[in-house]
This record gives sequence, structure tokens and C-alpha cells, in this order.
Amino acid sequence: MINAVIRSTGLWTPPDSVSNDELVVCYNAWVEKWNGENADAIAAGQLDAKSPSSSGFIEKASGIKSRYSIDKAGVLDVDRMRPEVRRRNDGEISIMAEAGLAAAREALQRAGRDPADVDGVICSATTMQRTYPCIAIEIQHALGIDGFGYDMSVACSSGTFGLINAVNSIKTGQAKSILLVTPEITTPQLNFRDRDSHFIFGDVAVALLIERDDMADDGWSILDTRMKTSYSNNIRSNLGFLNACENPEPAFEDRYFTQEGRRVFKEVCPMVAELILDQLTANDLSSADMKRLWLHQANINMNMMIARKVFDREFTVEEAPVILDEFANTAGAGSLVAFHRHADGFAPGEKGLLCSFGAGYSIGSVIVEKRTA
Amino acid sequence: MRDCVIRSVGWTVPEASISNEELVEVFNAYADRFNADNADAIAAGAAAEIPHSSEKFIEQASGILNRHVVDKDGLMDIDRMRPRIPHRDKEAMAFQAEFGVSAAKKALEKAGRTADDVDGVIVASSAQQRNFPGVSIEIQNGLGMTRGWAFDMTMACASAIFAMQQARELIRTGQADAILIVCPEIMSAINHYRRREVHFIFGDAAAAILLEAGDREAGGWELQGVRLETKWSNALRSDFGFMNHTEFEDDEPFEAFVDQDGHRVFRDVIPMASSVSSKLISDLGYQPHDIRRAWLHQANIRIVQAVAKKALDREPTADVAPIILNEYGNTSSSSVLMTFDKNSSDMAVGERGLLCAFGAGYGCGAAIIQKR
Repeated sequence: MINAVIRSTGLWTPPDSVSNDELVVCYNAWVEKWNGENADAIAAGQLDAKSPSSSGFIEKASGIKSRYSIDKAGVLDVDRMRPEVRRRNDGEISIMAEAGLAAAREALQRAGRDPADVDGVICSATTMQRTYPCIAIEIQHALGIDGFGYDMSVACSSGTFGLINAVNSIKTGQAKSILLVTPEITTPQLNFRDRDSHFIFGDVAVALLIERDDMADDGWSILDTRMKTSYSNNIRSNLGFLNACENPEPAFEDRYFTQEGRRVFKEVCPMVAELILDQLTANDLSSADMKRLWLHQANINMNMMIARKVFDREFTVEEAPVILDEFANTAGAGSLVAFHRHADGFAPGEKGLLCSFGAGYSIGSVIVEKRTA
Repeated sequence: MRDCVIRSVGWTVPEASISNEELVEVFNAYADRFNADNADAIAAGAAAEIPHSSEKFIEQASGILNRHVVDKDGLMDIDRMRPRIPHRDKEAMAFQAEFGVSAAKKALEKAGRTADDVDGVIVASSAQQRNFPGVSIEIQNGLGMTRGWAFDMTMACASAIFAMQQARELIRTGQADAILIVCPEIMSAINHYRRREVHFIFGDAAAAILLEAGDREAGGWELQGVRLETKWSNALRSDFGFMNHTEFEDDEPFEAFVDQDGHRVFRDVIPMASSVSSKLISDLGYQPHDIRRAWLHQANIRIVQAVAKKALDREPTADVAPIILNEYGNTSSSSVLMTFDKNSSDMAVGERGLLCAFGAGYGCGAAIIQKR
């Protein structure tokens, strides 16, 4: 059977980064304002005073030090605390497509490929900017690709599930070359007035060029793929097209991201480690054969726990690289961004594993092997 | 590589339906009220008068006579003109997942399968009710599947065929033995009932199709090939999304719903859908006359007939290109599956048919199937 290879990767980041300190200054200013406006109700015991956040708390809880945002000014405006973007007309490229396009162009350029070499575009991300037309088709159009595109979503596993779909299309001969694009514009989905989650997400776009193995000698062979989902309400975002029809219509705070962090940690870590170990065994491999794990970048403590279970020993940061300190959680892009940033130092034949996990719950896991340098 | 087979299709529509007459009555009442309230502005040329709709206009433009909807009262309420759906607690099953589960259960029952037989669920529809967890994962859980995977994908009206391609690949590569594709389309929540050009177009329906590896059991329909093409167009658009509230001119979300340039769509989609179908037919080594029937996306009777005529090179009689949109309206991705299910029991072993869906994007997917 034809196999599929990851030929190249590309990345786009917004120009602006927001540090924990900057985020906390804004959040705490809002807390002070809110507590002042509600002082009587708080004194009367009708409302609880809001607690300030701190950079120390954020870093300890998550490992995150900064995040990129499409609009820093809007996020740090105490009277707004959400990104502000100019509405674009139908003739202009959408923000998501523009972000994805930049990452896709870098992936093509790094592989020395022309858009004419590509048959299809999969846009796989937590959510799409509009119902239709598909964002994938807009990216396809901007690149000038004659072929097909579609959008798919599996929250934080969007990148790996999209990669798996691309691999299948190549293995069955449906396509020779596919661009997987994961533009994650996550800061509009955050409630920046929620102390538990205001620091979690960052914006990014990543792209992978997946090709038939006989098109070049380099890149990464796909040895095995796995998908698993198991329903949970512990990470949830209710925003959707039915909101406007719902009675009563949900408030802003009830549409966007919420999570039960501790339960997620407790339930997801063992599920992920078990799936990886099971997958390795099924492929006559063990963790000793894995030079590196590119894990989903949600939380440093989760990654430490999962990597320790998989390796069953102490491990170095080179073996489980971290990008969430700089990027925060970039949803479906996380494990792909970690791969993009930390794919160096592999000799031909050396292997690694990309694994995403998150809302759903969902887990996507892909074993790769380095081809010629 | 092993065959992929269509084992069964199940579908459901809400009980309530709205005739053209009823729809026109509420639209015209709204138009009259708007025109009266804005009489001065209209006279001064500062606002446009809203013209009346009519049953004749709707029937001529589309062939649609009726549509089923999840909430008739909300649509017929001149002050609302959109469905009213009770907000559900997160512990309760989401409305769209529930709709999908009922279609999926019918598909499983018809095939004599249980949830344990299924490896994966793909929800393929115009839009998903929420960002996460995936509606597909909730359906996986709602069916009682204790293992496997699920994901959501969107390709507007062509979603079902695009998902069939993904499912076929997963089955042919041995990663799955059985996959349920579920298309729960609540189009009445996306449609704009105050736009004369579109207010009659859509209906609500959920359909599900079970695809399996061919070696499991005789029967079913062999999925012989699929062809997908997409080509960018702004002529059919729905701008509702997670970034609306970050935009400078933060519209009422309702205003972000369906808008289309019908004439343009008509002109662009017919050649695209017939060319994708013709290419697939010839790629598989067939002639148009080797294909007995075309089950086409039910957008518009004239589009259906024109595509069938071009792709199958003969008169699009009811036997060649069955029509269900008169009763159901355009039910987006579910329509091609419903059309197939309602019009396939008379076909003999060895006979072939074409499934083709097309719509916003533009996206077009075609599949050739053969009765086993």
C-alpha cells in the first residue's frame, strides 16, 4: 500500500504576545472595579468578592508564561476584555483563512512545493469562523489549488484527527498531497473575566504538508494512527447556531469555554498514557523506541504526568518538549506546533509520537519515523 | 483493498410542517408591517420596501410546497420568525445530538446492528450546535457505544458525501469495520425567515448512513468511488460564528444567517455538479447509461433536473432523478440520503446509481454505488 509522509510544517503567530503580568494587571483592575461597584452587596453577603489573579498562580497551575493574541489591545482593555477585530466584507479573506494561509505557505515553501502540487486542503480546528463557505475552501482558493477542501472539528484533537484523515486520503489514492491547516483563533472564545480560565488560550495557526511517500525521500513516515473519543461535559463551549433560537437565550458567559480542570486532569492523563502504551505494544514498539513525545500543550503538569507514565522513568525536556510557556494552550494546534518547533536532532529511522487530547474527550495519536535527513 | 458497503440509511423529520401558504402569510404580514412602520423612509428613498412573497413565486423558484420544522410556532410568530428551542442543561442531551441519535438508531435497526458493532461516528452537517464537546461524541455516547471515536465535519449541503469519502478510506485501510455518518440538520435555525429570497428554502431533517466493510455480510450497496471538488464562492454564505462578538459592528447574530445569490448559484452549480458526476462515471469506466438513477441533493427542482440530465445524458424523469423537496424543502446534507432511501428499494442486484450533493463553498461530492 502507498504510505503517507509528513513532508513539512509551517507556523503563523500573531504579532502581539501578552505576558502573564499584563494579563493579571488587567484582570485585577477589573476585579477591583467589580468589587467596588458591588461593595454593598458583598458587604451584605449577597455576592462573593472576586479574588485577584497572579502570575505566580497562572504559571504554577499551567506552566504558561505568555500567549499570542490577534488583538492585544482589546484583551487588555478593562472595559472590553475580548479581542476587537474589524469586520471584513465578503470580498476580503477571513481572519481564520488568512492565519491558516500564512502557515500553509510556510509549509509549502519549506518543502519546495507549489500549490499546484496539492490536491486538497483540510481545515481542522476547534471551531470555524462562519457556517459557510468552508474556511478550507477559502484557503484552497487563496493558494490557487484545484481540488477539494473541507472543515472538521474535534476540539484539541483537531490537528491529529485532521492529520489522520489526510493520511487515509493518501493511502487510498484519493489524493497525492494534502495540506492540513489548523488555525486556532482561541482568544475570542475565552472569558477573560473568569479567573480559572482567562490565561489558558493563545492564537496560532499551524500547517502540515502530507504527501505520498514516493514523492520525495525526506520527511516523516506515518507508522500508525489512533483515534479515541469518550463523551464528557468537563470541557465545554456552548456557542453555536442554536443560541439565537434558545429560550432563554444563554448569556455570553454560558456560551464560551468552561472546564472542570481537576476532573479533566484526573480522567484524561491515565486515558492518554494507556492509549499510547497500548498503541506502542500493538506496533511491537515500546517507549524506549520513542525519541520524543510531542504532546498536546494544555498544561505542563498533565504533560509531565503523561510522559512519566509512558517513559516509566525520569525524562528530559528534549524528550517531551514544551511550547505552552510561550504559546499557552493553542487547542488543536498544540502537538503540531510542538512538532514544528522541536523536530530537530533525529537520525533516519528514529521514531517519535504526536499525541493530542482534550475536550470531547478526544485523543489522537500518531507514530512517526524520520526518513532520510 | 477491501470494499466499503452502504448497509442502511435511517432518517427522521419533525412532525410539524409548514405549507407555502402559511409561510407566505406570516412573511407578507411582516412585510406589510415593516412597510407601514417605515413608510416615510421608504417614500424618501432611505429604506427599501419589502415586496410580498407568494406561493406561486416559491413553487416556481424551487418546486418546494412544504417543509418540516422543529418549532412551527416560533417561525409563524411575526414578532420572532425563528424557532424557539428550550435551553437545555448540559446534563441533558443536546437538541442536535438527540435528533441525530434518532436517525442513527433507525439506520442501525434497519441493518440489524447494535451500537457495539460501530467503530466510529462522523457528524457531517452544515453546522454543529456547539464548539465542544463534539456533537458526534455526544451521539457516540447517546447510542451507547463504549469504545471507538467520533468527529465533526462540515461541508454545507455536500457534507454527507464528503464524510462518506472519509469513512470509505477508514474502512478500506482497515482502521474501522463500521462507521455511522449522521447528518442532523436544523436548518430552520440557520435560515433567515425575513429574507424573501430564502425564507422558503430549508426544512429540518436528520439522516444517518451506516457504512461497513463488504466482507461482513452479503447485500447492501458497494461504494465504488467518490469524487470531491470544491471551488470558492461567496454566493451562498452564512457568517454566523464564534468571532461575531469581537467584530466592530457587532450585528444581531440572527442577521449573520443564510444569504444567497440564487441566480448565481444556479448558474455555477449545475455545470460543477454535472462535471464532477460525469468525471466520476468515466473514471470508473462507466457510461451515463450504466447508471440507472441519480439521487441528488434537493436544493431546487430545476437544479436537480438539469444536473441529472447532463450527468446521465437523458430526460430526468421521476425514475431517473427522484424528487422529495416538494414535501421536505432543502434539508441540506441529509437530503441526498433521504432521497436515496425513499427511492432505491425497486433497484435490482447489479444496478448502479449516482449520489451527488452540492452547495455552499461551493462544494460538490459524487459517489457511484452498485446494488449487491
